Amino acid sequence: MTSLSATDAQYLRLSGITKHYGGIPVVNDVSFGVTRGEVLTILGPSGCGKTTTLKMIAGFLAPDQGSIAIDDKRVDTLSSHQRGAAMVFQNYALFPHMTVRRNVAFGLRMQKLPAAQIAREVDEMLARVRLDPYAERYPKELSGGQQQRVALARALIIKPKILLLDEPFSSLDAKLRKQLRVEFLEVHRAFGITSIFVTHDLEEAFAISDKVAVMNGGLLEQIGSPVEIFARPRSRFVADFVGHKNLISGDVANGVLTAGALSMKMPAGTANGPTQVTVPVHRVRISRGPVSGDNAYAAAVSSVTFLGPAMQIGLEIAGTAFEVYSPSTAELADLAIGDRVNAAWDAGDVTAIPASGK
Amino acid sequence: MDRATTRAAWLLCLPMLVFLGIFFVVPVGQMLGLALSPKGEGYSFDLIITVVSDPFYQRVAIRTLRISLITTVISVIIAYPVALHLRNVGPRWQSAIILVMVSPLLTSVVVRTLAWVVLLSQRGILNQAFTGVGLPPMRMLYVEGAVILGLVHVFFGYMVVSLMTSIRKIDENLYTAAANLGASRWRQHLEITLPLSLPGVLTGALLVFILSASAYATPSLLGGLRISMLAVEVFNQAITYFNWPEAAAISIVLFVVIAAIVWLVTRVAEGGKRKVIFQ
Ligand SMILES: Nc1ncnc2c1ncn2[C@@H]1O[C@H](COP(=O)(O)OP(=O)(O)OP(=O)(O)O)[C@@H](O)[C@H]1O
Ligand SMILES: [Mg+2]
Repeated sequence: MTSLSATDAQYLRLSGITKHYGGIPVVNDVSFGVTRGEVLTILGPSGCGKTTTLKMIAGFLAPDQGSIAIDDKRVDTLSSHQRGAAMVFQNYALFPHMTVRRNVAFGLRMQKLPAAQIAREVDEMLARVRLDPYAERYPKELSGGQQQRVALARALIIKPKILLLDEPFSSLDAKLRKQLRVEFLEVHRAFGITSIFVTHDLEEAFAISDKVAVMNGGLLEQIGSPVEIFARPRSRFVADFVGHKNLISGDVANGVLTAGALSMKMPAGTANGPTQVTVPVHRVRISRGPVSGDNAYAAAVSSVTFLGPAMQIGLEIAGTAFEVYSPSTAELADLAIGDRVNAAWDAGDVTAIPASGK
Repeated sequence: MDRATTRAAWLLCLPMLVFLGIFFVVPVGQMLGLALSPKGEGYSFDLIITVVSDPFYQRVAIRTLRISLITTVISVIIAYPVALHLRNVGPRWQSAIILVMVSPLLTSVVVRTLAWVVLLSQRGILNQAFTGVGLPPMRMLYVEGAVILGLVHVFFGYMVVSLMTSIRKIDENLYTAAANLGASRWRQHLEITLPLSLPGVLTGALLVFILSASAYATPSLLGGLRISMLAVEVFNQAITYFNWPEAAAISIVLFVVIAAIVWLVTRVAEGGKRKVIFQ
């Protein structure tokens, strides 16, 4: 690692991290790197090891195997404070008996900095996160969004190398979550701090992340940009988890997959043999008139659910059930069960799921 | 709360209010009558003024407050480590320790206090041990220390329970957050445990103080005639000398003094910034 950018691409590096509880691996040989300044989300169902992974990065928990490096320096033996990992807790864990100002000042007071310097830095921080009007309030006198900003300010003031957030919005209602998501991104943009965010909410993960790491049963299933994860799931689990519905198993011969009466053109270079593929729900075009695409079919409508901007439509194509999401266009406004439509998608949108994926 | 729930709440409180009305307010009223009008002809503060200005009662009152205060302070000091420790042990140990702490509250005060008499008296177990190794016997009974010892033993369970309730409520994440921001273990207790347990300290301290200041059995058994406290004097006047008006007057003085202290302490605690902690 000679160039700065090589280090930056692996600003946080997990290598073969494993943790057992009662003989059972709850985090199993997890390795990934996080680029400096980006937001990485660890996404997965309840109990898959997200919090455990985060705690090991934070230094609250020691891995059984593997090592963690921050900024090219191994931190395995350092406390959370020494390794420069600041945590934002699920319920924010603000000190209830301290004002906003004292909460934010806490980390600096522990460093025994001169009072004048603490006051100056706290004022600066409060202004940056727009909390200055609330400096003398107590946490319970603040809204959820303001509390989040206090938690962020309290963590950011010690200038950590990485910021860790464990489902900070999970106890809140959907509307507030979306608002806090925006606020978090604003703060992240302003400070540019490398952040690891844990959630089991797909939409949240996609909305805030540069990169998503999908975990399942202690294993890292896939890591990539939200678009990659959604359009190119590399395992059956990821496909299911991100909402793919059209998983089809068949045989590929000469670039064409055959599954019962259905045959479908595959992307160029697809190997022959038994293959499982997914047709992404959002890549299927449907119309009452003709539609073009590498794979074009006549389809029968088996269900219609109106969702506002989009419609969820069940189709039957060559004896196979499909589910697609289509924009709520005027043409489809009065679509009904039993209608006949044309459906098409491109060969390049069909994604083969590697057999190793469970 | 809407009006119907408020009314239901009042209705549910009714049995207790009736009970208190008959068995507490009425006797207290009668006592007040006795103290203010000893002969049943006209009301005056004469008797109360006599009691308040009597140097003997003044000494007893000051001793009562001193003993209660020392008992309270000692209870806080020894209950704190116990309550803190309870956070760190498993639930099974927690119940075991709580049981041991509270067990003195489950036996009769007289039995517990008599055990101290057996230990501390002139020919008691401790003095036998002293003389056995050639030391002179020590006076350990009928001194203030004995009364304080007995009161601490009897009442500090309340202190532990009350402290523990507020310490157990503290969110574990607060400690993790503080450590994450660079606070040492000691610093975490100073910044988090101490301020957040103040409500528990206050409740426990008030309880122990009130119970000590109005204790009868412990001071009369361990303090004897030399170390008398106000409640003992009330008993003496009422039962030994059959002087009910004077007993009533002492009771009222005791009541007013305790009420004033409780009011003052709560006011100070609720004042200023503390409001937030005490909700
Ligand atoms: N201290 C512990 N002792 C024993 N098992 C534990 C402990 N902590 C976690 N586990 C187990 O490890 C697994 C992973 O837990 P973890 O908290 O990392 O899950 P998570 O992905 O954060 O789930 P959630 O979304 O519900 O928060 C779970 O099966 C959990 O029961
Ligand atoms: Mg979790």
